[in-house]
Amino acid sequence: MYQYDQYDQKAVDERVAQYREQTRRFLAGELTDEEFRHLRLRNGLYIQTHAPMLRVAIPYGTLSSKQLRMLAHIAREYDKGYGHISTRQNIQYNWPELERVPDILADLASVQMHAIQTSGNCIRNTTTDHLAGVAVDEIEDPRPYCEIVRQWSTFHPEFNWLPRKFKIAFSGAENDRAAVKFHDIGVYIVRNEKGETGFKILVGGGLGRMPIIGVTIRDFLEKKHLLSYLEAILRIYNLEGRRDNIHRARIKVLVKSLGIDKFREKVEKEWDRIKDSSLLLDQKEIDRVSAFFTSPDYDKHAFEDTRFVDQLNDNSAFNRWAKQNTVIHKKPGYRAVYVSLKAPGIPPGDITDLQMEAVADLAEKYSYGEIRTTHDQNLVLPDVRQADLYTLWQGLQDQALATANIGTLNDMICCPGLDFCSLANASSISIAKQINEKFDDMDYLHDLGPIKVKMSGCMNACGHHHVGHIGILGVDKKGTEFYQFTLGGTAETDSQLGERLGPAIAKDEVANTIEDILDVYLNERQSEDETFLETCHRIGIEPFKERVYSSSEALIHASH
Amino acid sequence: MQVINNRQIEKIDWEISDQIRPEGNLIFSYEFYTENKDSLLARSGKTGVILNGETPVENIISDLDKLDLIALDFPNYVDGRCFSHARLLREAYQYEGDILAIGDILRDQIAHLERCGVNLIKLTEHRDIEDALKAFFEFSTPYQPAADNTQTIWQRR
Repeated sequence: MYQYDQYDQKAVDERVAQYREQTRRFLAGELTDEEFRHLRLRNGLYIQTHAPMLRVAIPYGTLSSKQLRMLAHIAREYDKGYGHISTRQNIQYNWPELERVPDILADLASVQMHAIQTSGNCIRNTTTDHLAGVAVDEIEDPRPYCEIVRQWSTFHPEFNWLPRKFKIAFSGAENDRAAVKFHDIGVYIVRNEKGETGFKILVGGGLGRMPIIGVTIRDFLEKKHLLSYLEAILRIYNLEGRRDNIHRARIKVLVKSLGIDKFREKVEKEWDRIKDSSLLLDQKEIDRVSAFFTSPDYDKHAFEDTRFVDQLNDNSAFNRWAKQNTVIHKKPGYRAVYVSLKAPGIPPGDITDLQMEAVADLAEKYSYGEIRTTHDQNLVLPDVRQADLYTLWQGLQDQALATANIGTLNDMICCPGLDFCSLANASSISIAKQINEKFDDMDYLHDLGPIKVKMSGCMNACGHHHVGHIGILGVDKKGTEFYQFTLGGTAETDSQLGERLGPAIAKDEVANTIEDILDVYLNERQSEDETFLETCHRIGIEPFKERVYSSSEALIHASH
Repeated sequence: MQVINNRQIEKIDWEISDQIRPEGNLIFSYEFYTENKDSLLARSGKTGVILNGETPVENIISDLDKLDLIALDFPNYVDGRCFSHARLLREAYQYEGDILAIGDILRDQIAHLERCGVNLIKLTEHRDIEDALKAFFEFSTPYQPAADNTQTIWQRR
């Protein structure tokens, strides 16, 4: 993975010093609350319901064991012993003290980490495929380009005060595991007719109050032009994005109001002016950064060790876990392993200090000391020999990190909701708990197959509910929490937004409603191979609607 | 007026005004300037014009060689449009006159203003101008190129 050189290190060290001074000025009354708010947000610090919340960047989701141990240390030393993995490859701490945040940032800087631009109206942490570099369907590893974009966007002097936040995601594979189409800029690595790789650029996607799928602004961009093209898009947005209404300020609104053709014309005109400027990406720099993302020294004989097959046959719990929580790897004899952060009764994405340290140790033993975070709020150990799976599984089990539920109903995406977030209208974590308790039969869950449930506690959609196969949005109706369902959404390659099921459902009825929806699916599916999403798209929303709202309970509690 | 001029506190011989006087270096609002352009430019004193984020720099490019100063007005510090205006003036239109930032500007923004090509910065009265000078020294080397001549990290590597 990428290692800082003296310049990278100096930049984060200087940021710590700058932020320490800003905090001092605030505490000394030299900065107003509002002025400091903008400065602290650019270091990831929110003031939340109970306490400040600090969002730390995990650039493109990659961590070393050493870094994960530091995250554990921060959880223990400055927080209540845990952290929360977010949907955009960040980790959030819910209980830091404002006065100690500069010390946290200094600790992060000591392991080449930071919280730079993790909030505020600026370019945020660039995200990507959590299987980057190991996926079988990969065209090219996107991580070097993510790192190059991280550097370009860090302290960009022109784009630190944009109309609104700005999120960029990359995918280098056939299958989109990074929700690329739901970003302000989405970048796919593609191959042209000549066989060269370059970038397909999408713009104006996003969730939130106005969910919209990004549209293609350029089918193929030569790699050397990546930064000038991004800069041209950002400049047009900075100049022309709306600033009069926070809900109309994202780039998607500008793209929609101008139309993609007009927007493209403006971008390309500006790009034409700057594309051969000093933003031109030097191949030497691409090579320098790429050299950090080479494959580890894989064991060539890994596939010959077949004890794994016997272990699968002998132990049904291990078998189930291996089937559900590991995926194919580009190197024969290796698997990529999901570490489930969705154990029953735990808020989705939460991980304790001791779990972090255990995962750091396991990664060191079995996965070349590297860990990824996923946008489904789990972790991945990317490079595990099949012969090590059994021991790794036991190690994860000891830490309650081996629930065999990846991709199932219980692998919910969930925002912090009313319990922590000052924006939320309704709680999310208690709903996750309700669902977990209702659906605790593993055989049933595995029979249902892949289902993505995504839940947000308000319209800002941090839980990506619009793109859940089953999406759940918490709403507040005169002080009571209700839940609005959508069905059929997906952020994967064939992205689409979910369709609204009907009136919002009472809190107690959420898990029962899901059961109704699943009954319809089980009755209607043409075979066990037809997934929930496929059935949903084939039969449409009506059969689900009919079932959910004909049941008397739901009718009584539904809010109109 | 008192400004930061290339990292030094200085008084510059400019005044913001919407009254036509034959002498003196005067900075006019964009509206006043466009209405009275010919008489303003015929004066013996130098002429500047104020742009805020609303007015595209394209509106004044045909006059750039007649304008000794362009003031970029920040209605409040969260409105970042003038950062792009400054870069466009310097990089797209090779403007070589003074660019003065006025309005509601945070000390924590002035190093970025400099990088975008602003050479004069006027802080509002209630901000400590001496203290603000420290902000230029918070970061030693930038990653990305901008309108200044600083050698970037990419060039140093």
